[in-house]
Amino acid sequence: MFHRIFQVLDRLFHFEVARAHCDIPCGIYDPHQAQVAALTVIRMVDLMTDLVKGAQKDNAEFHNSMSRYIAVKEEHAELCKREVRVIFGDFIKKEHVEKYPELPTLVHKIMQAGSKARQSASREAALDLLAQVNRFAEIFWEIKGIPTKRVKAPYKPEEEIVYPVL
Amino acid sequence: MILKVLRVQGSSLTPDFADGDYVVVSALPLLFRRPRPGQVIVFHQPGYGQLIKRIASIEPCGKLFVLGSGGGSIDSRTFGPVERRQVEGVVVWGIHRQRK
Repeated sequence: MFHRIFQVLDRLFHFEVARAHCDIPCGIYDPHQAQVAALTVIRMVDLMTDLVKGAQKDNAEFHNSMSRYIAVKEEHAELCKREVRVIFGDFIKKEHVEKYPELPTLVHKIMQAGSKARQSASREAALDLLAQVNRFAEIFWEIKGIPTKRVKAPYKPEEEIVYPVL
Repeated sequence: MILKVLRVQGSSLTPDFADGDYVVVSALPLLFRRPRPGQVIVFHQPGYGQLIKRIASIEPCGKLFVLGSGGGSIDSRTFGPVERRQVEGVVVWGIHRQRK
């Protein structure tokens, strides 16, 4: 009964919305997780490179840290691919592909860049993944009619990232 | 803000709060007591707008780590812990739609 009363009041006064974001059944999608995952891949490559430059290379501490960085890099490259796949599969419709014909190729490039980022310890490969995901984010927000801006992430590795201007 | 009524949009807090439920939110409880794990709060998150999530833990620095109930929830795992000043209020009453 209370819910019914609040529904009537909502129609009259238009209550504000509190968003309970998720990407599964509610139709709410956001490429941000893919972008953060791509940034994490770059950060892990940087940490791996720093570790190799360090003095201690043949002890348990070194191998423990290196294994952890690699594991996180693997996980986030795969997470990045998964997030893009979900948006492309569930959110992007035929008319979006018609309007942005680069989309299928772009998603394919992201899948390949994600795999390359897993296979190698190359910073260029990780940067390429982020660049492709940023372009994907730009198109995603354009489809939603929301302008974007490119800013440096306020945390390491401080690479450029696309944000929606809300 | 003494009291504010908001409509929940999205499913990340199901089964506690579902899409279309209403919540009454107040900042008053936070004047007398610090936020604590388990409370459902409404806060402003840059880039996402006004969000509703549950406090999972309080970090040593006082920031709030918030989570949704579902595996696909976009929460502190995505955007990091929430600062106290971002919090607009605590849910003091949930008005649920009749579940089918």
